[in-house]
Amino acid sequence: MKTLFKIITICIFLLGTNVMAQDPDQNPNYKESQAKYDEQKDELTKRNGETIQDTYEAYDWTENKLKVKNARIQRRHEVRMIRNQRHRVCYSSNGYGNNYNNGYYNNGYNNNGYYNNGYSNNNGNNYGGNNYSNSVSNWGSTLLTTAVLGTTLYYLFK
Amino acid sequence: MKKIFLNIALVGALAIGVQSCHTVSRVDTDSTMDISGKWNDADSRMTAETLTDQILGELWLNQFKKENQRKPVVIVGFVKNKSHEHIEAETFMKNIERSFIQSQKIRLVQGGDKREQIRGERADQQTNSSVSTMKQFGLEIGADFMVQGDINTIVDAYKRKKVVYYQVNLELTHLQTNEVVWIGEKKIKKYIKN
Repeated sequence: MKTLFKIITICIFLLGTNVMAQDPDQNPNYKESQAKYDEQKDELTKRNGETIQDTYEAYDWTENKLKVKNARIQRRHEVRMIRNQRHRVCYSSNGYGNNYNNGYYNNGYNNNGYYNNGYSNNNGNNYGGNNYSNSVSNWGSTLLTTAVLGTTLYYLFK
Repeated sequence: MKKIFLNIALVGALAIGVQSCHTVSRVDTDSTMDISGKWNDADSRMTAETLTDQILGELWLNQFKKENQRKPVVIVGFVKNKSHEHIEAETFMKNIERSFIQSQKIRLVQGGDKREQIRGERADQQTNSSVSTMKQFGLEIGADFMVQGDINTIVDAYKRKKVVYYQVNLELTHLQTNEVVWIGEKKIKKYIKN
């Protein structure tokens, strides 16, 4: 019984010392803040010692000029690609190569000095290296049609 | 005729050879070499030197030692780059951290990912190391201060001329009281003409 009493006394003394160890000036609600930051401590200390890159883009005349130039080159390239694809669609739809001058490509858009790159003109002829594949596919298509037509006629009239 | 062609070919080959000559040379790491005008190693070095002198030579250090009769313990927080360029602050922060250890005036504790790795290793020791060599949890040194920083720039450009102003700030804040005891500053101004 005496031993139990001693243990309880020591426990009370230790608890009392612990309470006394706290700063009297400490905010009594400090545990609320402690609990809040206890949850986020890993997230908050994860990037210690790192450089957080939060950069902005500064206007630079020379760099901007270069960007505009590159954008123009890219746009011209894309326009050429789209035009090339349209030609292909156009040829493959009817199998003929003479519908070039259909009014669509010669509406002034191609001949405004800006896009007039020798790619299309008003007389229906093809210029430029890019049309080479179109011409080849056109010839192939014509040959195929002729072959199919010839074979059909042969079997019909033999 | 054959001789002329041979000579032309020889001169052409020589010209191509000279053009495509690729050379590499070692230079002094303390030399200043400005090429593009952007932030470079010279700026980083100058920043580290200035901030090291400031942090080790100012009042806060003696004041702390006088009040506490010991060296302050510092942890490095993050540096925020709010400039227009990609700047890695670790290059000059490491120089500053190194000066803490070399000067023996400030004690440094590990933070961030490296601290996590150390704690992981300590956890591993709890099950794999012998009892006499096993390191215990809960005995790390608590930092007194945290170093945090910012990098800012102001750019003024017109046509081919450009003025770039860099300002690097480091702050030392007391972890208990939240008091800022020191602010270091390094300013660099560059005039670039393309």
